[in-house]
Amino acid sequence: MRFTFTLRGKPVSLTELDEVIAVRPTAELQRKATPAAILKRLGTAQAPDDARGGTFGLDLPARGRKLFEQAGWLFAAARGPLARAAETRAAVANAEAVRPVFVDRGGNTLIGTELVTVQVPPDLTEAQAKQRLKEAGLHVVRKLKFGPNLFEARLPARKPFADAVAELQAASDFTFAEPALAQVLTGRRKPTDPKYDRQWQHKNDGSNGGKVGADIKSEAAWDRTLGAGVRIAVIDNGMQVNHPDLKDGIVGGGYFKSDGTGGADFVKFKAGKPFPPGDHGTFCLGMAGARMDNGKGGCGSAPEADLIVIGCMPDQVGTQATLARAVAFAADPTTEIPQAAAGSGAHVLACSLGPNGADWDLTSVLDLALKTAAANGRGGLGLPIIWAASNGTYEVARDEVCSHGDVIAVGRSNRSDLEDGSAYGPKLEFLAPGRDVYSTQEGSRYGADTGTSYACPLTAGVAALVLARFPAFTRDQVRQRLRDTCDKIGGVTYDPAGRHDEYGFGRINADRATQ
Amino acid sequence: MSKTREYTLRGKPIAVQELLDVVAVAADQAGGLRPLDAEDVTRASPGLSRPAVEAFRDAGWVFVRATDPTPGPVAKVFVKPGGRPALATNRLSAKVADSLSEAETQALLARHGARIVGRLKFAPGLYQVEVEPPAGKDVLDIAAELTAEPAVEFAEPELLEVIAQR
Repeated sequence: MRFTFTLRGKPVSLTELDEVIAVRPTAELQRKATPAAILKRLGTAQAPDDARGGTFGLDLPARGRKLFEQAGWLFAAARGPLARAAETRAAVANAEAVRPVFVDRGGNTLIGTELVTVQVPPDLTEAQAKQRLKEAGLHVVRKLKFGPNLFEARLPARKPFADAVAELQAASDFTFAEPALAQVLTGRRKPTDPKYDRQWQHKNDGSNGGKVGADIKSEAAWDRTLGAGVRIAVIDNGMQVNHPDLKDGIVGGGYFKSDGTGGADFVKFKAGKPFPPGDHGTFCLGMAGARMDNGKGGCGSAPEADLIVIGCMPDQVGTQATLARAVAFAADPTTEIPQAAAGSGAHVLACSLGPNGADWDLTSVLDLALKTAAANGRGGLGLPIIWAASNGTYEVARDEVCSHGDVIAVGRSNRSDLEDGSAYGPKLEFLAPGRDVYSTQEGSRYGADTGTSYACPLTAGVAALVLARFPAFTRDQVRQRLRDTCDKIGGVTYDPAGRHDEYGFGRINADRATQ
Repeated sequence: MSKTREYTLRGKPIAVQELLDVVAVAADQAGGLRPLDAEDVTRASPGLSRPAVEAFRDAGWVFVRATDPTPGPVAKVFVKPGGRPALATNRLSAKVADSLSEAETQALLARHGARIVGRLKFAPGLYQVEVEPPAGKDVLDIAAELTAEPAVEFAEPELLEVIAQR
């Protein structure tokens, strides 16, 4: 059910969840019993959020649920008398409050209260203002002293929350009347990893030089999601798959072992078994999915995403047919592992391989692999394919892989929020930090390095955050979301479509992309 | 010395230079041969990317004179537009009409001295093919012959190239 009201004169639309209510048990009951026992006593049961099998539209990361619980709220299945109490704010034994639950456009969970903030025209005396509120059925809770005739008031009982708010907002003699909704408001998610402060790509506070804010705003995005449940495939020459900051995120993959004649045999990834090593691939993997809050190094842009590692051409020489097989495998593992589970492919693909000169011709076999993966990946929703543009100042159009219609070509920006001399032109999608960024390295180490290679998986992580928030998005919607939410950096003039040849649509912004 | 060769990529003709004086040999097959250094190789074709030549060398390839007696198989060296080197393999990727069975495809390929070595499952009728060209022909010639077959949607040589890290 939609609940539409106005905030500061602008319409806001929320979805009221029909099958979930919020219950605030008495403090005494909370001291005595577990959440499950409390809800059982109240005649209901805990409502599973979507991540735990619920289908209510309740998308509460474990952390968000915990914070609500710490604040005294439990989410319960809407049943019988409790459901009616939530609607009318009626008293319920052993509960301080039973309230409706809403979800906003960004997937944030909000709880209805019994309170509104109302301002009455300032030409009325305080007594007249209070009289007007009383006539509207409101009970004044307190006067708010930071504005004239501004009050916090309780809604009339027994009238559904949405109806009561709608009636108040329709009354023309209030300056405004806005509902109070409870939501989780936390400080920004700052990882505790010991080397996180060197990762200016997430949050550039100026301590590493450059411009404050020249970053992808990861922390604000991490308040919403860490990418759990989304699979990112990274194709590279090799990776240290037992790196302490990566191994816990790896869920599958494999590598293509050259047979010496231009062909390659596929070898399935198995934890603890040899895998081609590689500093570059290890760095890329960490940019996307190094783990957070594990006491090691820093973290990737999607630090709870699952990682699929795909090694090919360990010596950087090979055929595009092998690369095509790697792309196809990312989207659909059954192409190489017949017994792989259907639907176990990646949700996002990152590849940072390619010549650093201007030209790269595309074979039909790689073309087909890209088209098939992009169109059929994710059960037909499509696989976002993110590729590092050339590090040279050449037109992306001369690289037929990066300028492929199904490929999102990423260039690199620096800590001053300027383009950093990578490939340019109409086929450049956007930029992400890639100069002196900090990530995982071979040998269980960490360090800084430069390349469009690293802007690419950083972006893939942001795409994973978007998909964690909006799992039904098609690949085109993910691409459009990343474009539309870029920051227009560089002090240059973007064309009417929002593009610039050296900046694409700008520098990606994880915060805006996940709202 | 070089000569211009042509093959088809996604329906477009691609002109490459075939080096006539230089071939590549896998390092483990190059016993007793005197390898050319990168400068010698790039001298054979002005504009040839030296870093790419060095990348092939780092990947275990040795460039030698075409006249040197090589004990094992050799790979022709092509230079693509822009100076990127590519080594010929005995493989190509081919896509045939969906209506052709694998047996019919095998028969078609056999007429050109080629055989299926793997099916690529991400598209129907898509195969990796190994060729055994008769004397005087190479994988580019066989790709051209197959491309001329009505039932073949494309047949493109699989060339070894440097696909570096960015």
